[in-house]
Amino acid sequence: MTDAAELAAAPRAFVAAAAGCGKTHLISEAVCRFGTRRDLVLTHTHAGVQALRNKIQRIENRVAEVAVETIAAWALRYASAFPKTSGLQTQQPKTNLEWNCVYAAARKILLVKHVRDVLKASYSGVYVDEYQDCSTEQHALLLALADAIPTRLLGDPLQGIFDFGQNRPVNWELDVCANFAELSPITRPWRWETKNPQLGQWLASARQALLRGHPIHLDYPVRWVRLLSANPIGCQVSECVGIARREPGSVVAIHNVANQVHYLAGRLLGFYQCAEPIELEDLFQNGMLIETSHGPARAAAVIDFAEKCMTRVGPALRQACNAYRLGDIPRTRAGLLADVHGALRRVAEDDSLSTVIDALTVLRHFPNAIMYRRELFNEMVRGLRASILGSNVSLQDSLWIIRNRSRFSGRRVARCVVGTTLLVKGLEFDHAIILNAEDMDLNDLYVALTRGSRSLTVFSSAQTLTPMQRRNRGTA
Amino acid sequence: MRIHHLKIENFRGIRHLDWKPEGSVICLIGPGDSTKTTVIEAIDLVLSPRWEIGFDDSDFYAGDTDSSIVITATVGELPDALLADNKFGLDIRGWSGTQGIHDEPEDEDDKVLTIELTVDSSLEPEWTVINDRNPDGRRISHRDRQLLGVLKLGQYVDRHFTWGSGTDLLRLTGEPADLRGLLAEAGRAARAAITPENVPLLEAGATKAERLAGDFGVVPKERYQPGLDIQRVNIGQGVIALHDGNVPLRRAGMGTKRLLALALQREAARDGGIVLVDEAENGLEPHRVRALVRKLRPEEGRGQVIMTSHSPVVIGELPASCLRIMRSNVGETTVSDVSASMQDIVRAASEALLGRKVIVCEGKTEVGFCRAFDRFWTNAGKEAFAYMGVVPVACEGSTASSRAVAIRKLGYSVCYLGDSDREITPTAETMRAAGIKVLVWADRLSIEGRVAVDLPWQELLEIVSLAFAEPGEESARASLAHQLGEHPDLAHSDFRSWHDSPELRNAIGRAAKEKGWFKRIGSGEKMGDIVCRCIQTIPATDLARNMEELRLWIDAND
Repeated sequence: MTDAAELAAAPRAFVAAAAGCGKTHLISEAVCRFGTRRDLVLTHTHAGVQALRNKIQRIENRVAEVAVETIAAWALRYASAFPKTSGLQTQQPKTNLEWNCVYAAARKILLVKHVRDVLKASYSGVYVDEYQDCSTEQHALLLALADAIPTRLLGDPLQGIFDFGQNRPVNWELDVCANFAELSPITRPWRWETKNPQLGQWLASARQALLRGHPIHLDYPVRWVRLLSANPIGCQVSECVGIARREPGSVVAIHNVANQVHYLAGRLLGFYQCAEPIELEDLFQNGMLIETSHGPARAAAVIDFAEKCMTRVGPALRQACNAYRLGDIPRTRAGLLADVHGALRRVAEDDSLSTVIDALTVLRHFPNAIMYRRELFNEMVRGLRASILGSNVSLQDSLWIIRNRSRFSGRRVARCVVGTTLLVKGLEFDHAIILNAEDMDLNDLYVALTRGSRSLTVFSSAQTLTPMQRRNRGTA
Repeated sequence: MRIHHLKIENFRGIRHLDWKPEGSVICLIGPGDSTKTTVIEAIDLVLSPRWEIGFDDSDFYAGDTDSSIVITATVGELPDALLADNKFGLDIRGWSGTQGIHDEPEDEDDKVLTIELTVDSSLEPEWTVINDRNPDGRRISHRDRQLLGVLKLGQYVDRHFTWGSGTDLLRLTGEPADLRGLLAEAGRAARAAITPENVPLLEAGATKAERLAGDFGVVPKERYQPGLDIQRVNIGQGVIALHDGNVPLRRAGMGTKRLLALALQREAARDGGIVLVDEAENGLEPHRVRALVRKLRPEEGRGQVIMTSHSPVVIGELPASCLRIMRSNVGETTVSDVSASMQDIVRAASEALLGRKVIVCEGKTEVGFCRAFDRFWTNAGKEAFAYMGVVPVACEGSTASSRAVAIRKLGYSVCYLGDSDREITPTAETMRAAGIKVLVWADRLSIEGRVAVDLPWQELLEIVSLAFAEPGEESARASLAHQLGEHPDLAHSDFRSWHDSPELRNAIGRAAKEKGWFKRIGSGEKMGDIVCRCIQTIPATDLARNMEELRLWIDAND
């Protein structure tokens, strides 16, 4: 097992790190105790940057300085410092295509001798975390970086799950192993050491089985629950609710089909909130709809939004919603929903966004409704408030600011969440529940299996799993 | 570290300067008020870590605070510490010897940073690193400027003999981590040294005070005694100073202090810093000046030295390519190179380059002659050569005219004073075309010949008596005989009885020239003195007319 000293001494190497085996700790120790002058640590997300910075801050008597950045921010900084030479087109990239230009520009600028001198004057070496998530463009840039200063990569080929849509991640064999020296992988299951060491051991052997393409047997200490073909959802729901009630710690329920997640959340009696992606497209799309509609159409948009976040609202307000869509304002009736209708009417009559906030506040307390996308709902309310306070700021811009703040300051995840592996990767919970294990491939399955440190519950029709190889989408 | 490009705007006597100081050793020379010292000051202000500078209105050109002071230096050979990307590594530009500045460095360029100091009417200085892609600039702190390693050897080097922050002494000591602890110890030791037993008189005073206090009802907690007040004895870093025995080095002579400060800087700025020396010769005897100049040559080609000088010793010690002639005209300061081909002129006529108007003479005789006239004219109430910056300089006969042209090209006002007894190249026409005042003696005569023809007989005989004294009567008579052949006058032993005749006059003239009777400045002066005494009696002569024209040229404004 590689230790911090070996890692710090390697000029060009990679370390495969199993989940929960102290990768962040290893990097921190390497830079703090064995760094020489100033080291650079690169990762992918701001959450990752925060986590590393916190770890490093807590180590006293650091022998060297450390700079932690996302690959994106670092590449943009260098590429935009010499825009003519790097060929950088835009200093505020938004789309994937624009970001790929940034990486290409940064790579180009690293070819300039003087920039390499600046690099050597700035850092004694660089560490790159979560290398399995690097795109081919980022990999090309980091190869150029490795030519200039000592570079060490850390990652887990078994946790590479970001290969969808326009993303093209690295191929571990062809891109990493071929270009860097291998240091022995770190495999000690620290995450489970004090909480459930047997689970840790089980996961270590499961990893080996997965790497070799062998089946996995869901025996002790894993809790296997047979998935019955009749009423599979109902059974899962009661299990999840049961665990949420029984166990005091954090719980994650993992289902890999995105729209099933919302449906399930609605069935989980309010115990679980949906994990939301950082980009939260739904927030911006619905915000746009609300902002650009006026009168009765806006009331309809508000109802649609509430319907996405909570149960009951949809069916109960169907008629009213249809009326609003047609441009009518339905009659207000007395009774349980009187204040809801009253608030919606005011949305239709008064163009100010404060009526929307009032309406959402009332809807939050819709009788017998369960809120399962609380993060989405609350961000929208915050955005609306910010837009009203800053007089010239549009709702879209306010939502962007609010979301950005959350991105950097960290979001408080609810005690129990339900989400896809994409959304919960890298996070740690006390208890993990896997809902559709048989639909997952090797990587998704491994990520899902390693989320809980105290217990693991798996639903499947058979007690043995034979997950498929992940379709090889990376290129060299 | 070296400066590739310097721009100064609206600073003291400089409204505008745009200069590329190429070269490792640069010596700025020029007449007074050519803004040499201002340039050195400006470089020091923009690059050194001083921050406690107080600017006032007189630092602005013409006192006009509406036009901000802007001093911009583009510097290369940067220390690694400044190249880090969290310092100024991403602000670098490229310098090409042929194309100048590239905002983004290309492979063949040198890496440079452009540092700008701006002072507006608020008198607050701001130092920023600028480039085209970041025109607002990024502030550079005085600590970062310390890394540039710029040392000015000026009047106030005393600070460099203390262990104050940022000094070379501190750097040489290795910046001990527990400096504060050491200083606190020193403070405690100093306080402990003043105990009451040491100073009985003070103790007595304290006791008296205690008694008087008691009369007024003031009772001490312990007892009154003298001691060092903690607050007032602040042993800061700057207080610990280098001593020679018991004497602090700030008491040493200026020459010693300068040499020592330079020695410390050389060691501390191993990367090669920039040394600025105003008046390199200041406080030093010529042999120490030479030693200093030799030491100022940067080692291994890194680093740069920029100095000013008024000393021919300094100029003589440097290759001509190191010199830069500075001129200031209505605030526009220009800096001209001196080509290497001027080397021998620099050696031979270094004083000329330190003046304003140069009289290029064919030999030392003419120089002495001019000096005599300088005295004569001063006594007559005219301005002295020294006042007008007039320097007569002797050039070896055949090279005099080409040197005159070369010196003229450097921007000096030049008068050529010479014989017309042979062809000169460049010709007189060429010289006149170049703007040189050309004065030659008529009738193809040398100056000795002219004197011999134009002077009244009695005075000429006095000149002959000079020659009889030096080089001596026998050799003088022999030369005359050689010129004349047999002559009745020569047979007379008493030269005062010689008769005035054209042949004798010509012979005297030719002998004086060929035998070099007055070929030293001293003897030329003596001859000149005699001429001056009678010049007003011979106004129609070529001699008198030429000297009058010379005086007109001297007095003219140009």
